[in-house]
Amino acid sequence: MAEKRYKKLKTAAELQQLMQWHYASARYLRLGRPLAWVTSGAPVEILRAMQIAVLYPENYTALCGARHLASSLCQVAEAHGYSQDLCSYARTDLGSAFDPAHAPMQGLPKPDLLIACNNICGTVVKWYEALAGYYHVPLFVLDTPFVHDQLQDSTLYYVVAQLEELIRFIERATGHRLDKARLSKIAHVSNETTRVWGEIRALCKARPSPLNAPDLFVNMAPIVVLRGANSALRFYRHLQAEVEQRVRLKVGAIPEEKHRLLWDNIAIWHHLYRFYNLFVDHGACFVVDTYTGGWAHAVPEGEPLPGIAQAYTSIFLNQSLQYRVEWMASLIREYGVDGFVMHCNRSCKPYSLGQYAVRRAVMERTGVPGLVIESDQCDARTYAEEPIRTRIQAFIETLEART
Amino acid sequence: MQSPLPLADSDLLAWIADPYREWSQRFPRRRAFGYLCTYAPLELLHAAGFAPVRIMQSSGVLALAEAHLPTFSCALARTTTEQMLRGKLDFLDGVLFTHTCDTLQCLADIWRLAAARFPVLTFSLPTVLEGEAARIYLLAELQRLVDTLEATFGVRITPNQVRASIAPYNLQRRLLAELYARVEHLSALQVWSLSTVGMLLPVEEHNALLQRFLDSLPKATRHPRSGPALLAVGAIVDDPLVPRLIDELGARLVSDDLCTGSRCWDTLVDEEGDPLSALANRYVRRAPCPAKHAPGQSREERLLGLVRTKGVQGVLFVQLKFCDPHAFDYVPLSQALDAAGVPHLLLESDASVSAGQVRTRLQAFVEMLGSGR
Repeated sequence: MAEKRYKKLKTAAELQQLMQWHYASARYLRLGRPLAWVTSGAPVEILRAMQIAVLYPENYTALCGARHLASSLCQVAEAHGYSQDLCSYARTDLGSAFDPAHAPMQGLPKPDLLIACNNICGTVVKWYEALAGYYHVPLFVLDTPFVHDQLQDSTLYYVVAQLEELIRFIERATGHRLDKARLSKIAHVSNETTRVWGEIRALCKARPSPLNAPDLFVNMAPIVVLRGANSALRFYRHLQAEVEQRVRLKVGAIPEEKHRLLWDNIAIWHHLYRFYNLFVDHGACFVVDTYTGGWAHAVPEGEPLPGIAQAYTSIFLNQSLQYRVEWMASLIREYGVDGFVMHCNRSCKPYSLGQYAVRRAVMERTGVPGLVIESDQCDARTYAEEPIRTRIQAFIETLEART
Repeated sequence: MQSPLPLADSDLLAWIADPYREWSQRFPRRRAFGYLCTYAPLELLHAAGFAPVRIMQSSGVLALAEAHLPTFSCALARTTTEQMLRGKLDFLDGVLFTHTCDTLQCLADIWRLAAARFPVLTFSLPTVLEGEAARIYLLAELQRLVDTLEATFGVRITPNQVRASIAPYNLQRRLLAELYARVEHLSALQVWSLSTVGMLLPVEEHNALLQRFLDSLPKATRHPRSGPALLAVGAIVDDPLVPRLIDELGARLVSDDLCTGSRCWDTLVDEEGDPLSALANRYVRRAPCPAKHAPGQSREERLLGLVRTKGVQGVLFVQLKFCDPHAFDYVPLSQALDAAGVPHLLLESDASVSAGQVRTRLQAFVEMLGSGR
């Protein structure tokens, strides 16, 4: 099996249990709590503090992709009129809503309310409008204006005002009230968890790197779906201990680390291990990535709502390409990276349309070569392995010529 | 095709086909400022002393843009970037990007990273165009644009100047509404060329042109045009192909809900009171683009309303390939039409779609409508 080329983490079983519990409890053990479907960049701390159960279609559809079930669900959505050019997370999720019998876990349980935050893309607004129309449930769109230059005070006031409106929206929809003390406590747990996650990522500065990109991608699930929950914090502390031990014993994620790479964009879920093995075969390890770094930024201390507004408006996908260039250049320096690979992802325009421009600027800034590979996060129909293999081969030769 | 009113001796359609090359020679005393989307506050650019000029798609070979954009970006992004990289937009003093779709959001930064030879300004208007918080933020963002224009170009933009710039744009909106009200006596290509040229000319020139044209129309009703009544819905129609085909096939284009059509001019700006508030209020009241979230303004209801009031027999969805907001809205809009029993046709434009294919599909649709099914 392809996975054999990876050292399996001992915490893998705990991760699996945690995620199974997450999905099972949302279905069977809600104890009368309303269920919200939310986007990965939604301020979940507020929902948790209001005793709302949450599910993340983005996580669910990534799981569909990993199980090779996304493409058939995409086709269901396409038969309902959704273009094949639209985001495959959106198509997979809508397909699973239209035809749950053919979806993993028979689809997600029906939501009582929907919350979409456009800090990751504009697609989520349209996707959640479609869900709201289909399920006839209320939708709240949290609008975090894009930051081309500096984050403006007027932007923060606007987002804070909407967070207050979000609380009233949930109160109206569910009758649940916000417990402010609980919110502070959850924000604290959320911060602790993002801090530990950030420290785990930083452990990969070691040589050899204790983790490779697929490890980061598999282990990011709780930071997205259980952010603010004690169970996630506990899990990441265990993972941190294991990764620290790998660093102490100089155990690398891959058998022989020759090249240290940076990954940019969402994973290719349908070929996760198989794709990264094309690099492992050449001794290339992805020691850092941009995507899973999106959940390593803490909510500033103090009043919760302004802190939440600032944290959620400032995530990198809501900031300029210039910001991304600076960030990638600093990751390349800090992690001792020799090359970077950009997944030009048909499903994600805000992440992908600027990659050629970013690649050029990062190469100029750092002198490190970058490779762009076009594919899709979830829809395997666009995946062509042979040309990808050839391009990877040529890229590795470039890296080897430089050393 | 002869245009009824030549534009200073040259043909209107020829001017639209290549508007940028001679723009500066034709208007030597005007400074042009580029924009791409209906949400650009043209009044503020005008008040800063500029003539706003819309940046449209161009035909021709894509060579330079390929290195800046992936294959799955829309033709608007690719062809405008090509023109920028080839220096064809260097007559502009600047370009304003307004926040609507993910593509334009990226394009603003891509143009900055590609070192466009003019300032690239941004206007991050809210996505949610409802409620007091959005209105207050929008007002602050309009003020920020005023400040940026003043600082970048060393100009002063007073409330009186903004007010003075609102007037010609309101006049343009009224004249375009009047033009659309007379469509039963006009060809689709006439309406298209007279409205499209308005995005390329200084507003005063366009207003004079429209006024002359409307005055030249006979007051008495001639025989109104016949043929199936069509409505065009979607993003950008900046190529005469579709209106020309509608005329040739004997159909009528009675109205539209397009980024290059009625959504440019559908609501007037209040001429009383604080001018920035008046501009903000229009943003909230005007027909929303699908990249905006305005649950109080259902696009389905608006579409069905247009179908009813204009006697529409068939709807044309005119979409750009890879335009996500319109592709998403196509589903509920087409379902609403199905439920109302209104036939519709999706025309997706892309480099791979030939004029012949568009003609074949449109012809079959018009024939189907004409035969009463």
